[in-house]
Amino acid sequence: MRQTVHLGALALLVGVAACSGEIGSGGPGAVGPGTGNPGTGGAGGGVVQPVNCATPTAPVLHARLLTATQYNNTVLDLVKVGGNASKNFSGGVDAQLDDLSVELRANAAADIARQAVASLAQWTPCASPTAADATCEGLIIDRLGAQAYRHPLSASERTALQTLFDAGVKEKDFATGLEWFLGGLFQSPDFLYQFAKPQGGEAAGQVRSLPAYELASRLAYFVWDSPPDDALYTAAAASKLGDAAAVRAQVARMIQDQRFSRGLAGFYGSWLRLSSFAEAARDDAAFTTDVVTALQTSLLMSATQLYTGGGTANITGFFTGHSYFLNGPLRKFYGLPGNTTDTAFTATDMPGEDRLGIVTHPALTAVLARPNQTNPISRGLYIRKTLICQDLPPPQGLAIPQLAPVSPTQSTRERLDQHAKDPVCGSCHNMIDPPGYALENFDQVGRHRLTDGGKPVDTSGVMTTAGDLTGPFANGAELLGRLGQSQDVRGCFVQKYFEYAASHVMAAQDQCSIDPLKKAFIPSGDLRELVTTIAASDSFRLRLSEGGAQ
Amino acid sequence: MKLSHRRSLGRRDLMKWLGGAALALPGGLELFERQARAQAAGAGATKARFAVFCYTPDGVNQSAFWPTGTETNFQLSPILAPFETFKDKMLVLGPQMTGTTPKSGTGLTYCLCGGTTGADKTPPQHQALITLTARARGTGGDIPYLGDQTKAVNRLDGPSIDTVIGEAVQGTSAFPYLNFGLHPIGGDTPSDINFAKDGSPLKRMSTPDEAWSRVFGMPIMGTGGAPNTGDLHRQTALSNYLHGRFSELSPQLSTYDRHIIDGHLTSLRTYEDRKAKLLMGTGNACTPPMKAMDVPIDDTSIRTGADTEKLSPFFMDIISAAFSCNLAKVASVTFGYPGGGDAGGLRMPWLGFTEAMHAISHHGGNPTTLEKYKKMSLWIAGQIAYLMQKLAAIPDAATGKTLLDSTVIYWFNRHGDGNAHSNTNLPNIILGGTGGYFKMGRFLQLPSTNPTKVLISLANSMGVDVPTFGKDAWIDTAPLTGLTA
Repeated sequence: MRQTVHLGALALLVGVAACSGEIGSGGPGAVGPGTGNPGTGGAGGGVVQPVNCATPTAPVLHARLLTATQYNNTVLDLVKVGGNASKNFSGGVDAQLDDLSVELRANAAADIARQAVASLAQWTPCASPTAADATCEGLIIDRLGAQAYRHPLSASERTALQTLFDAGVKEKDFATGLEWFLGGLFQSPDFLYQFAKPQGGEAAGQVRSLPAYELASRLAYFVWDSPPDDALYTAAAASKLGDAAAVRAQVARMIQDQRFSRGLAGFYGSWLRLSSFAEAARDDAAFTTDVVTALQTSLLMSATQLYTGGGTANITGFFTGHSYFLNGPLRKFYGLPGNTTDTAFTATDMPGEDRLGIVTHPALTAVLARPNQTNPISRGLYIRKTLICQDLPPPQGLAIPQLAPVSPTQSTRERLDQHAKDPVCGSCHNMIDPPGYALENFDQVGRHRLTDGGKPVDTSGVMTTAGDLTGPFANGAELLGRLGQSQDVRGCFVQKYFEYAASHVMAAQDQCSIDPLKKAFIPSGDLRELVTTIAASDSFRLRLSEGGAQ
Repeated sequence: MKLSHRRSLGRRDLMKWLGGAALALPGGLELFERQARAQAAGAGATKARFAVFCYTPDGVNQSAFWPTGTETNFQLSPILAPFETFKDKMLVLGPQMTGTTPKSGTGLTYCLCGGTTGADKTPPQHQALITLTARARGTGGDIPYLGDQTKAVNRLDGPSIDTVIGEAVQGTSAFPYLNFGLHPIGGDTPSDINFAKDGSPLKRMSTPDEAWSRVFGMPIMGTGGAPNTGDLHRQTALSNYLHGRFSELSPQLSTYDRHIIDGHLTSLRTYEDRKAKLLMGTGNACTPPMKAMDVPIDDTSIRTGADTEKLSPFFMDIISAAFSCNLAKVASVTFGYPGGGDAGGLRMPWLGFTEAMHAISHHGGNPTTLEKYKKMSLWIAGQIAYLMQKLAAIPDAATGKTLLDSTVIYWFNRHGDGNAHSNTNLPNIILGGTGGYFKMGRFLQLPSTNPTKVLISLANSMGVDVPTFGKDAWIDTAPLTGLTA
């Protein structure tokens, strides 16, 4: 039976178009060289294309750079060198590296190589860390070479690596050879990118399985934000990653591994905007770097702790309860009882403050604010963009009307209410601001408040063009409660997690994988199962061929 | 550095290494470079030899920016006051004035041409990319974009003028251009201003250590004594391995991936070529500014934005030293990112307030906010004046004058007034001696003028002929008339 689906949550997007003239979080970005869009077959932003899901379907897949954390995790796993060697890297996974970016990677590789030689005892495959003979050299090349390239070395690949190693040995000694070898390995394209290499005989338009070693890498960097382990390589070598069931079995093992927490940090770091904390400054003098760093940790734990303890990790956990993982300084900052110097983060109740779940986490409400006031626009956009996947780009070609300055006798909401009154502003801000107003009882550092500008805080509003969140809410708690019940919130969560896994914004062909994922996740809310089913989906295991190598 | 460990470098070492790196450039790139250099060589002597591009987002307080008076007899505004001693080295590309108020729709103005494609010809607001490329993307452009630069790569389909100039005039300099950024990335709006020939955005140096080590790390090695043979042997072995690896890998890839890898290889070759020159000690004797570790910034100052006060003059020091050392002839500085987001770009807590540039720029006509808006631009003007002072203190052996006399600086903005996100009355200024190319010391009052003309003029001032530049409504084929001496 022919089955046709359309790109994006169409019901939501049509309304957004009226606001901005541009639709679609699903509108694929120009994330390739020139004007190409990987994974889309060239679909432009907002173009709705029907896709036939009757047969296995997946978008094209292109080279992806390791992210900064994937780079660090890989170095740590391979040669036990910690730290943040990638700290000055920047750009997305599809960046075209300029010479500054190449230089930074060359310097990082040199630093790592020096440290790895010093820590050889911790990772050497040789019988002894002092071994310095050809046998040991061969063991290191075979082991590290295959781990860095993430596939077994071909004869010519091995020869090239040995030539590099030998040159250093000839220059001075074994340690020099090792350092040159590692310095090359960690800036090789094989290490820096995940490739999707065309296989023999393939033709454009075919849907092909990812080769086993490429799939092993893709799985590991999704689930662990780290390179594959020996078990994954063994499965790849035995061609035991060939179908969805085999992938499910691997992922079931992987989410029991402690590296799963790295993968969770990877996704939730993005979902919870953790990078924004680096520039979070507030006029409140007590809002110190220590407090900000602790808030960041606390917010991430709100997500990752759901997965601990062996119970079912369910999305309802994000939208219920008012207990957060706080340390002593945070308890002190928020005026809570208990130890105020303890550095450990423990579950701490924040009762009687209208808090409900992660959206009212003090860290999230604090980071979505300005130095001296709340920012309902940021908060509203977070709910629109991140929780229900609506894209609301900035206004275009408008004369922006003037807003009054901050006044101690005026609430932030009173000031921003001009948005609603001005028809030009209102077309978008009537969508953006109300969910932000729902959080107005949390100030710019995330403290609870009942008044603003000397007046009682009003957290009521109306959600328009918001799927099943549409409608009036009497106060913030009502909207927060609705988030936990919303199918659209759950559907958006699936899309966000999928996009993280796939390393690209949703392409038209991905809809064939995402729809079944949503169908399963919306009723269950099972977070671990979501990871497994994403990994087992066609979009993750397959790719659309653009033809053979040329 | 242990000089005693260095031996004199054999010519063979270098040839061996360069031999490994000397793969043919893709034909198009080679052609581009050959053309550009030929044009540069053919230019007359009356021209600038150094260029600096300074970008600020979010417009300016229009009532405190423009001079008053006539073209040649004018008084500086509060924001331009730091340039008082350089008044004869200013060319203000102003709008027509009614008293002290700029007429909307005059001066440098991005075309809102509309027409049959409607908003397609409106440059996307805030996005910095149009400023030096005369191209656009996203809403109103041809190419969609993603706002979050930490994830998205927002490519264009052509270069920015600074890279065109930089590559044309590089000559024996180590770098074609040096790009710096003060909190260059954040928020929800792309901030890139520098684009390579293929339209890829270029990374900017934004931390003290990456800036110092990139610009001075290698030259210092090269000028302290004979090159380090061990380093050269190591680099040769690495280059041979990497080039071999790229060669073997490339044919195994799809067309798309091969494009990525070929671009990577081109960048690698650029880096190796420079490193070869520097290891051989071909850079001029050079006094670097203070070391990165001496720039007093930390997590807290980065978080509050206070780092900018220390970092900005450090970058200016690096630029002036790099020019004097023949390390580069073109540079750029990005002062913060445009548009919204929670932090909202540049912050200047040392001025006594903490709001970000973007929040301030939505001044709403409020006098208190307008005063803050003015102070932020004034501080940036002071930084550019500081760069001018540095350059004015460095003798230029080629001319017998100073580096400032041979430098052209372009201070430019994406918007006129930030509050309205206006596309007119752009507060753009040319500064420096410009090698005598432009007739300086003037306050021009221009009718509505395509800013692309200024980009072409700037290229010409550096001896680079650019017959046409830009795309769509912003394309132009001629420099701005009336600028030259």
